[in-house]
Amino acid sequence: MSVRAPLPIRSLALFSLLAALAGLCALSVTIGSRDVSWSEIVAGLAGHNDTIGEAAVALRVPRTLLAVIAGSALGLAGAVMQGVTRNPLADPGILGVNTGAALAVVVGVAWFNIVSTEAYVWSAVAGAGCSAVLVYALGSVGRDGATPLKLALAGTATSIALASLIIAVVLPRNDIAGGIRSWQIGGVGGASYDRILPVLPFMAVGLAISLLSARQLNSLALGDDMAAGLGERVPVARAFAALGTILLCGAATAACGPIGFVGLIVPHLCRLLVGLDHRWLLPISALGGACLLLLADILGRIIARPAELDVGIVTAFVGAPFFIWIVRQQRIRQL
Amino acid sequence: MSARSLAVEKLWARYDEADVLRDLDLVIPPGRITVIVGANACGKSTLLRAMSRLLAPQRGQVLLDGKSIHRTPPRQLAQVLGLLPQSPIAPEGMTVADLVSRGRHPHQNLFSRWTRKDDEAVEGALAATRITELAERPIDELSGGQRQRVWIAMALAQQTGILLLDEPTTFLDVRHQVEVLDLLVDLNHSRRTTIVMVLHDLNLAARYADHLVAVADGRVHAAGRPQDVLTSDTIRQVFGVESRVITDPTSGRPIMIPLGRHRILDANVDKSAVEETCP
Repeated sequence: MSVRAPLPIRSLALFSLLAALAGLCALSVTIGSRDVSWSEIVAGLAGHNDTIGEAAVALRVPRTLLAVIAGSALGLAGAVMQGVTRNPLADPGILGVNTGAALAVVVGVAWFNIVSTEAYVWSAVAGAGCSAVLVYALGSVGRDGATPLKLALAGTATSIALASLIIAVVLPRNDIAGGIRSWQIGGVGGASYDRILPVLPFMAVGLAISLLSARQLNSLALGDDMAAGLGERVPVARAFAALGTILLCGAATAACGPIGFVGLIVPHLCRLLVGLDHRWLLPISALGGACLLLLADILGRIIARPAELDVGIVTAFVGAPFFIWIVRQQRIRQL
Repeated sequence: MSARSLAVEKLWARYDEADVLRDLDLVIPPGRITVIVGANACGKSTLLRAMSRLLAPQRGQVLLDGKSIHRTPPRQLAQVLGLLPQSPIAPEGMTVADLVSRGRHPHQNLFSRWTRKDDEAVEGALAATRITELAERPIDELSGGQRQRVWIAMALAQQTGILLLDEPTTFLDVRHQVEVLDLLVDLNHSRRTTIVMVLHDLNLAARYADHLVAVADGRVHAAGRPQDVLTSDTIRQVFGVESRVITDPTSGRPIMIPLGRHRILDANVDKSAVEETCP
């Protein structure tokens, strides 16, 4: 008798997602608000930008790369957050982590004149960390600790408060309002290698920490007492995993603004595919997040031709109904 | 599996900023079944939590083979001391086999692969709790009694010499209560597992314990054979209720019958005894 979960299904899911990601990358390079010929695509990929078409293709490469990186970061961060808090509604957006990162960036831009992407990333990670601690502290008040419902409420309230602070900071500053607004909606459109490279180290460390926390998340899923009984240092495990998500969310937010719902949707869909084992769920969620954000970006380019819809708007359009669906399914019970 | 010694020495522990355990001493007989009883809020659950490292004591220590469990690395401790808390969470949609496999957690590390030994431990645990045929079923579909057997199977897969259980029969009907307790006796006999559990029902406690411990006011009030501990004097002092204790003809163990104020047939009660104890 085998007591292990079906490996073939998981491997199949892994390879299908990899194939889907490859396909979407190809689409992302070829599809845009401007039609380009195949020869231009090939030339653009090879690094030429002699024609407008070739230049457009050359611009789509870093854009695709950023969508893949940010999407996988958000998908993974969402899966880890849902595991750490045992909360099916956990998401970098809902728990206020992305808004905290955004506020820190906005404050940096408005008051400290930060311009470099490095400075964006450091402030975003710091902001994400502060808001995560704040939300967790608010959500843990009371005897039964950080229940899913209290965390979601604390996160939503914090998120709204921080968002209004962002407006308060930006409103009197006409000089920065335009740039902040387009960054804030969340986009991968203006991606360049200069914007991607500084983010990579944070992403890499966040990715490593998050993937390493899979085993701990598996025992935390059985309740804190049971996890402790299985030999886990519960607070340490929780803080370690949270650190991973803070790095991922901070870096993703610095690079493309707060993008919502990817972290909420992706882990739920991936759980249907590969089950509850975080050792599979986390990498699959990263892949799924990359696919979803890339798809949203491609759709954004097609729907509003010849203009483009920012990816954050597209994910919100898909994500909001999905959010309502989860709540209506009464899946608010603990994971 | 060699029987290990577990002892509590001069333990002070707090819960909600009140001293719940006050200078408590207790020795758990190895290879036997110890049942802890006591009134609500007397500290019996706190005691179990302190013994399983869920709660750090203020003073005193819990010794496993002479070594403080709070100075033992948690994973190492989890290989010898298992715990079934009162309300563990079964993630939605998880199968029985998957959950029981999680009991192997402390025996694995980041780089070790699932081995034949892990498979055997899980299969053995499923067989011992007679849930092999439920292995592929999601836990949410099971009845309360079946679910409790799954959790016990998980604790068994952990293969610890000592197993602590916090009220394992709560929310179960009488048939499933007896089933779970019988199962624990089986394990105690077949694997020599030292079992320590908190129970509410005094009669079941007296029936299934080798060693009965009555906790009151943060201390051990009485400990020993059920026949010696479950007396109407102890029950009065520990629970504040008058009772009669008779011998169960099936098990030879004591049974307590609370007296209360109503529905007492005069003929059956030695009235002088009641008057004597209720001035």
